[in-house]
Amino acid sequence: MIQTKKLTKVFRTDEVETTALSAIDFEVTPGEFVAIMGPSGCGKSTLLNIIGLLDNPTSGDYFFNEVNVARFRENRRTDMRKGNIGFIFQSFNLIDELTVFENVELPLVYLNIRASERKKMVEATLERLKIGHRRKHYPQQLSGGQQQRVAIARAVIAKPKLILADEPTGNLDSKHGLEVMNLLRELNQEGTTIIMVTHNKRDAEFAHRIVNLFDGQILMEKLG
Amino acid sequence: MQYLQLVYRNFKKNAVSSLINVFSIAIGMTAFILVVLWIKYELSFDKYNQNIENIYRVSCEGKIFENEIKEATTGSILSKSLSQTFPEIKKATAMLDFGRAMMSTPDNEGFRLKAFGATASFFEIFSVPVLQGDYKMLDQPNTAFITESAAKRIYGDENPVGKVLSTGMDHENKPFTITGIIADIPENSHFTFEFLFSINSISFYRQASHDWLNCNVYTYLQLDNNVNYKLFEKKLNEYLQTKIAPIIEQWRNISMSEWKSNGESWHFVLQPLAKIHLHSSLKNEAGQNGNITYVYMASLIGLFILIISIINFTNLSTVQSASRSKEIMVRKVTGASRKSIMAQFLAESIFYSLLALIISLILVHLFIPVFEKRTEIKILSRSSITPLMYIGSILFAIITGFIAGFYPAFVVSRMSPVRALASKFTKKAGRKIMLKDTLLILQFTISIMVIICTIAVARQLNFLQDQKLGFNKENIIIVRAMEDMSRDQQNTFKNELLKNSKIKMAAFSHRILGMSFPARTLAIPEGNNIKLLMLEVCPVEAAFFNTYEFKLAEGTFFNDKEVGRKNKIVLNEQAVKTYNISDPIGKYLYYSETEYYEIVGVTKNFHYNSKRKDIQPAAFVQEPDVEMFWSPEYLSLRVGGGDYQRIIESIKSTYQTLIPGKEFSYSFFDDDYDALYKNEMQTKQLFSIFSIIAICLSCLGLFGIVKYVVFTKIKEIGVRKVSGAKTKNIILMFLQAYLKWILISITIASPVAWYLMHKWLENFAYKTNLSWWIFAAAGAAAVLVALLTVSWQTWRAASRNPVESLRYE
Ligand SMILES: Nc1ncnc2c1ncn2[C@@H]1O[C@H](COP(=O)(O)OP(=O)(O)O)[C@@H](O)[C@H]1O
Ligand SMILES: [Mg+2]
Repeated sequence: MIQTKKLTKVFRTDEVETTALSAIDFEVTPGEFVAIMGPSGCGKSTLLNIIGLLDNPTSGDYFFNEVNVARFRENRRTDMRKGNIGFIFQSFNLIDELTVFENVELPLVYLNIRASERKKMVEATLERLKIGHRRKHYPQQLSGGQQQRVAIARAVIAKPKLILADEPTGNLDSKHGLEVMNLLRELNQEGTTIIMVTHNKRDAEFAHRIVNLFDGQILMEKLG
Repeated sequence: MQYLQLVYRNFKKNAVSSLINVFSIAIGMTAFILVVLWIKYELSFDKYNQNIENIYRVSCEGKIFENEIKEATTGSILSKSLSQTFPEIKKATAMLDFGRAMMSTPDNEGFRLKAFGATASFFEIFSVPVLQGDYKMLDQPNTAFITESAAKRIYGDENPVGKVLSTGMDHENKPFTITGIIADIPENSHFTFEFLFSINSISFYRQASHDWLNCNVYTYLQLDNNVNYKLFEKKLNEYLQTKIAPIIEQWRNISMSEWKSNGESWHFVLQPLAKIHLHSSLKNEAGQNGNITYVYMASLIGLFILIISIINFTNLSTVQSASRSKEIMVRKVTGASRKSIMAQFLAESIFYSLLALIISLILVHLFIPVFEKRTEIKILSRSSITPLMYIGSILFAIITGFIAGFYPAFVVSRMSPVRALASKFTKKAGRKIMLKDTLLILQFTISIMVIICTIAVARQLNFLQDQKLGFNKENIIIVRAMEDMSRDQQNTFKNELLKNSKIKMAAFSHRILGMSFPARTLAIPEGNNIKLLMLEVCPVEAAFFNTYEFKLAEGTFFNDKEVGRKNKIVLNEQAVKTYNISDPIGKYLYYSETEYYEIVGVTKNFHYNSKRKDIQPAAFVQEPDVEMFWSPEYLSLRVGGGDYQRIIESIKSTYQTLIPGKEFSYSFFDDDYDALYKNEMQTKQLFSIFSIIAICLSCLGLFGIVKYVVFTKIKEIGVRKVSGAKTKNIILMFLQAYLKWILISITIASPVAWYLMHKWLENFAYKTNLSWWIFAAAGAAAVLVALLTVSWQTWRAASRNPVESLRYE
């Protein structure tokens, strides 16, 4: 499903060059649950963003479902992402001006799904994540755990094959964190491929495979 | 002090955007200051008079036959007799506008001086200093005062007192002895002259004893301090009615009450001196007056520009401060109170505003000469820049800075140190959004109003210029002062000129178009009765018609070959319409029992006076034998183009061989004619300058606010993109939102602009209508600018990698 070859990312800002990723060879097969670990600043988010087609590599190749997308422009990447990849962030990234319902509905709107159909799908997903009673609330009126569940609902609503989670429990206490991890495991058991960045050993235990990143390079891989 | 340091450091850090910000408000201030100076100048008219509160001009209003009378002048008898009758009148003077009179020295040197006649009490009423001589001398016939600068021009360092200048008056070359020098009349005076002669020198003034119904001199009164002028005006009119009753009876053979039941009337209106320049536009004004509507409109535009730039400033500062959230967070964490953060932002804003003031004062000084030259509007009179104005403008800048800085300061200081930008979605947050939207709508509304008004004004002014004049004003040279030649000399002159192949046609006339014509009452028999016509009549030669290319509605023009005993008249369509003359051709108009004109033709209407007034019933007559009336003062020459300078040189040399020593004076007819619309032209210039500024500032502000809104939405854009939105979707979403704001703004702006323009157009007899497309065009312009800005800004935010948007926190 995912295969990178000599994937490199260099950031240039004000004459300072940072090599966030250097020549990464990395592979994920469908149905896998992979955890990426490593110290802060080692390039975990950068790797996840490139895998998620939110950013382009500086050099190297990236095959997504056998297609080399490394040189795709933003609009084609959007087309690729749409319905195929769901994202979960540490800081939830919900839109403050929209209700829970509208936030979750967003990916369906851009997939041009009819309103009545959307309503059914959103309700079902909200029920499943046990936040149906909060559908009319705004994100700021919810607790962190609830907000992350809304974000997960949004990530899974279009039934993507791949879910990318960047420190999904980073802003949560351990009880809510555990809830989120259980949800991810459930999704994985239903066949969704999951790649997750985490600092937390306990969370990493949920994965089939742990990849350790250090200074933009893969240090070692370990099967869970 | 500590604030200042911070302000300076911040300025250095954001130099570019800070400079844009400062210049935006500096341009607004410059425009505002220029407008204020201009208004101040317009309001300063006649204020040099110490007694301004108590000085009034008497004007006439009424209806004689079918004609509405609104005259700035009155009969000569007024100033002579009223002050003896009414104790309320402290002083009274009569003034006569003698135009640019041809003056000659005893050794036959000639030149023109703007001349007025007056009595000595002129000096008691108006504060015009006498620099040399005794003002009382002005009551002696054949004496005159001359202004300082005219004296210098004519006599150099010689003392002018005792010198003699002569001019044509009462059918003779009348000598005036200069008995004194007066200060120059200020520019901001509703009348102006260089030569003030004793009005007692003129026979009609000396002899006047019953001319209550005439309009020939200006009458100014100085009333006692405690007199209510409205009540006094009533009293004056009651007295007037007793005076005119016998005149009406004798002249018209009807009683006062019959006359009044005809709908005819005559009364006086007292005009306070302070109101003449801006509020009076009567017939025979002493000079080109201003117009209060323009003052209102200018203040409105100045205010618009200022508001737009304050809004711009607010928006731009808010954008900047939002990007400084980190600095504020750190400051708050380290213990800065909300008050001190607000104070710092206000200090910054006031600092920028003062900086802008300095820039705009420099701009004002650079601009004034350009501005005055281009628009011919004098905005800086000798005394208008005072220390008080500087203090005022510093205060103004501080207030501006405070207003503009308050909102960003308020927003910024409220930021919570934990979550700098992620504002809680509470009622408070809702209000913040409201305020932002209000600013946005305000800005759009003002911009749209400015655009509508600009289009409407430009259209009206173009309309006036393009309107069918009814004649061809191009390629005509006017030779003035033909009265300096004898009749034979005139004919020789004309025939000599026509030998020049460049001069196609030549015609003498008493007046030219653009001036008012002498009024004449003529009678037409109607069954057993006679109907009286009051016409503005201009004696002309037959060639006059072809020289100006008039169009005939019916009949013919005059014919040179049949100049005989029979006098002929050509009416304009307005005269036929006003007096309802059926089948006019061949009818006779009588001016005494034995003397009459035959109507030979009717011209299409033509504009011979400022188009702000209606077209009056008018006529041309050909009466070569009636010498007393028919004095050709102008020669109109239609030239076939080419080298004007050479044509004029050749006319001049012909002129000077005929009458050596006289000043040759000529002008291009279209220049003279266009001068009638100077006021409108000035307004047009003023409007185009300020509306371009206003429109540019609006666009800048629009750009700023869109940038701000997009800035606050960057994270949302990222989230939407991660959820599958394409750049296209994002741009469309923003466009939709803005379209809504623009539609609301158009809805607010249109009726307000319509009302303003409707009021303004009421000043014109001939006006364009405010058609729907003006509003549509203004709306479309706003939509276009907004769409371009919005598309550009959102495209920039939406087309980059979503990661970058998400990193924005
Ligand atoms: N947009 C960017 N511009 C410049 N440098 C960046 C950017 N994004 C990440 N970096 C740098 O790249 C390196 C890796 O960052 P990141 O992938 O966010 O690390 P991690 O997620 O492992 O903490 C860091 O040194 C970071 O400063
Ligand atoms: Mg990271």
